[in-house]
Amino acid sequence: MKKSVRIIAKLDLKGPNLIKGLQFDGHRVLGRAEQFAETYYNQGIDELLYIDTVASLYKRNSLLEIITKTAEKIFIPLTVAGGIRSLDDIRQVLRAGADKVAINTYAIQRSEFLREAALEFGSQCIVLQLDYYQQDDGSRHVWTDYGREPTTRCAEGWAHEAVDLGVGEILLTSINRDGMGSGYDTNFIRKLATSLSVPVIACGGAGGTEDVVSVINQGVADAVAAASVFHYRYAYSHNNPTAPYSEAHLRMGKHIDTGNSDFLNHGYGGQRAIMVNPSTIGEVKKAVQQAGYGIRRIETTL
Amino acid sequence: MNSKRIGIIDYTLGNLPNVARAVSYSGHDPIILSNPKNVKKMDAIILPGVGAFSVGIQQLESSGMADSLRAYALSGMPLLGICLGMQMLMTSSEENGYWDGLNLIPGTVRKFTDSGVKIPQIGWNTINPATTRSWEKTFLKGIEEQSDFYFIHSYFVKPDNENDTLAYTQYGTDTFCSVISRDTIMGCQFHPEKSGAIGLQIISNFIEFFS
Repeated sequence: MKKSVRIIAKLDLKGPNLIKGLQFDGHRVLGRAEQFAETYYNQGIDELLYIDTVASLYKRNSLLEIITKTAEKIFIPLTVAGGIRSLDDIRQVLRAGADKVAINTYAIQRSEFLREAALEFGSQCIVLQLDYYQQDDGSRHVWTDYGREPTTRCAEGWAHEAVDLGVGEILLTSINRDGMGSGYDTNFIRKLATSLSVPVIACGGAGGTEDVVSVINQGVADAVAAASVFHYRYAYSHNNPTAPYSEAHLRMGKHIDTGNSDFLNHGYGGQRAIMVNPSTIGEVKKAVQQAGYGIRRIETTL
Repeated sequence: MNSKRIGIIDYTLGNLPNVARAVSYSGHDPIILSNPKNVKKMDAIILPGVGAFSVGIQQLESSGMADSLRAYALSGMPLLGICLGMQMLMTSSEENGYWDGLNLIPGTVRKFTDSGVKIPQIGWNTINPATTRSWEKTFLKGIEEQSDFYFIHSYFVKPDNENDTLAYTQYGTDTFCSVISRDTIMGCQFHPEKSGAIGLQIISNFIEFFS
């Protein structure tokens, strides 16, 4: 039997908008989240991942409305991350239409929460969101709050502990490689994918189709998430207007920081260039299939 | 098209909202059911499911829902079990001990063989036609062979009668029954509500099959 892998689009959200940065910083606004989600669904993505980038920072969870809108039109698995702090938060997110939740910050503060969540909703529903930063000495430590807070937890040890606590998948993201297009952290991914009993989703560093193939081949990843590679392929300044922060609970004050929208207004604006070779979902899937792996066929009737 | 009333059984487990959204998408009325008395008013019933067999079946038995579902299905009305919902249609399960199921289709539920693949299976896998039956006159009508569907499970069903298997799927060293059907009782191990357009087609086939 051929090993089958999933290709996942990761959408980082701030309020109602899709954003993308480099190493979890310097975010650009790229458009409305659910518009991208719908495009990706129609183009044959296997799974979607929504990450509320400011949820833990502002101690809130503002994604429910977007999840509901997304779930009405999109019939593939949706994982939601950001600001999950209670069983009730999970219940709400699932009721809104998510299939799984990914937990990072609160699990570091109270690891037993992972066990409670897995018992209540089943392991298949609980994903550990493990964002890590590799120091100059080579050590990899967990960071929380969407890359804002460093911790002293060893990434590898934490992954094993979380599996023992009952999580059903690990979303493994290298902060160093996020948006850089320099390839995935293949050796580390391989180490975890071969030693953990649950699927590992490789995330951070895709620069093009060859990196995706390589992290499956050499990294033995069970699933691969990519953001910039897809976002910059499907983003067009003329048809992705940003959403207004119309809801009071989405506002942080009178003057709303929507992020750097130069990209939308002026094409490839700003100081930094795009670090990846944008690819379609079809191109990525074709490359994975040609490398000899099982992959969900894209429905030609769409 | 006449919209039909599709009961979706609520037994506190399961991803009801997503199944309901898929039913709405196909143009029918999803009705979340927790009162067993309302089962017989439905045009068709979907038994969704995520979670443990023991918890699910005990919820159904203690609420009286199990008896209503058995009566409904045996009277010739259409019932579709999804994932755990499919497994609960069987005689028994070996998940965490031994548990009696709804006993609507003779057979058992067993765990994947530990053959080096990750368990649970999470992801897309293909369904292949069983040798003994064609899909043409079933709710898989119009689905291409080897189409991909989204699976997330550690256990699978093994029907006693080979003829009840409509499609099979391979994972690791196991070849298991991924779609089952016997009279008006149907089940799929994958999640049609999470399998894109062809998954929605299966749900709509199921609903319109008996009209």
